[in-house]
Amino acid sequence: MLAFFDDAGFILGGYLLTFAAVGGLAWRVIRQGKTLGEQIPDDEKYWT
Amino acid sequence: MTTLDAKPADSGTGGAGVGPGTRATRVLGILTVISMGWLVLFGLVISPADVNQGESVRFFYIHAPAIWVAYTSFIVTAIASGAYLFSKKHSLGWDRLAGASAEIGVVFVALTLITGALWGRLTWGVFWQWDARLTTTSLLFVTYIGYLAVRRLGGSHLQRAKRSAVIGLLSVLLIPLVHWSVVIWRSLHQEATVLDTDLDPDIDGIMFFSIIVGLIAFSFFYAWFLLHRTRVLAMEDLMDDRGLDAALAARRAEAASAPQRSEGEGA
Repeated sequence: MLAFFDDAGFILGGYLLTFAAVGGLAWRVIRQGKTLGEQIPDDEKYWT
Repeated sequence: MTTLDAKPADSGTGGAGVGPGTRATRVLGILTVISMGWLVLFGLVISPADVNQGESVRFFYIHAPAIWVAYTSFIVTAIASGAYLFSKKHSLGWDRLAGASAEIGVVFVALTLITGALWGRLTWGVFWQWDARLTTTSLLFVTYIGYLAVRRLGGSHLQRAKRSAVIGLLSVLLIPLVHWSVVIWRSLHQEATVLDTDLDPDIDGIMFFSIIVGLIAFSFFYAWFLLHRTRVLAMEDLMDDRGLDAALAARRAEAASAPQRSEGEGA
C-alpha cells in the first residue's frame, strides 16, 4: 500500500488524463452534434 | 451504412433540432459510463499489486485496452476505406466511417503513449526510450495524424474520400509491425501478455478480469463515439454542400445580372 502512495501521482494522473481525454472527446462531439442538428432539417438526417 | 435503430430518441417536432443521439447511442453511453466506473473500481481498488511491477501494473488496465481499441479503429478505417474504393456506389458514408474511426484511434494511441511513458518512468526509470515498440507506436500515431491532416485538405468530398481511402488502406500495414516489433527486434518493452502467439494469456485472475473490463469500457466508448461522430461528419458535409450551393447560386445570379448591367451602361 505504501508503494501505491509513492506512485499514486503517476497512476492517478494517468487515469485522470485518460478519463479527461475520453470525456473531452465525448463533450466535443455532443456539442458539435447539437449545433449542427439545429441547422439541418430532420428529414436530411439519415438516422431520423 | 446502417443505424442501430431508426427512431431518434427526442424526435417530435419533425423540424430541425434533432442531434446525432438515438436510443442506441444513449444505451451505449450509459453502458460506457457504467463500465468506466467498473474500470476505476477494478483498476485502482480491487486489483492487487503485481509481484514484479508493483502498483504500476494498474497502468496496464488502461494502456493495453487503449492500444487494442486503437488497432481496431485503424482496421475499421482500412475496411471502410476499402469499401469506399472498391464498391460500385462509392458511398461517402464509408469515408465518414473511416474518418471517425481514425479520429478515435489517434486519441487512443496518444493515451497508449502517455500511459506507457508514465508506466516507464515508474518501471524503467525513464519516460522514453528509443525502443522498437515505442518508436513504431509513435510512427503509427504520426501516420494517422497525417491521415487526418489529409482529410482536411481542400477539394470536394469525393476527392477527400479517394485520397484518404488510399492512405487508410496503406497505413493499416503498420499495425503488424507495431505488434510484432517486440519479437522482430530486441526490445525493452515486454512481449504481448494477452495477445501472444500461444493464445494463452500470461495474466490471470482478477488482473485478467480488470483488463477485460478496460477493454469493454473502451469498446463501448468507441462504438458510441463512432456513431455520433459519423453522424456529425454527415451533417458537416451537408453544411458544406449547402454553402457550396449558396455560393454557386450567388455566382449565377451575379453572372446573370452582369450583361444586363453592361447593356444598361452602354445605353
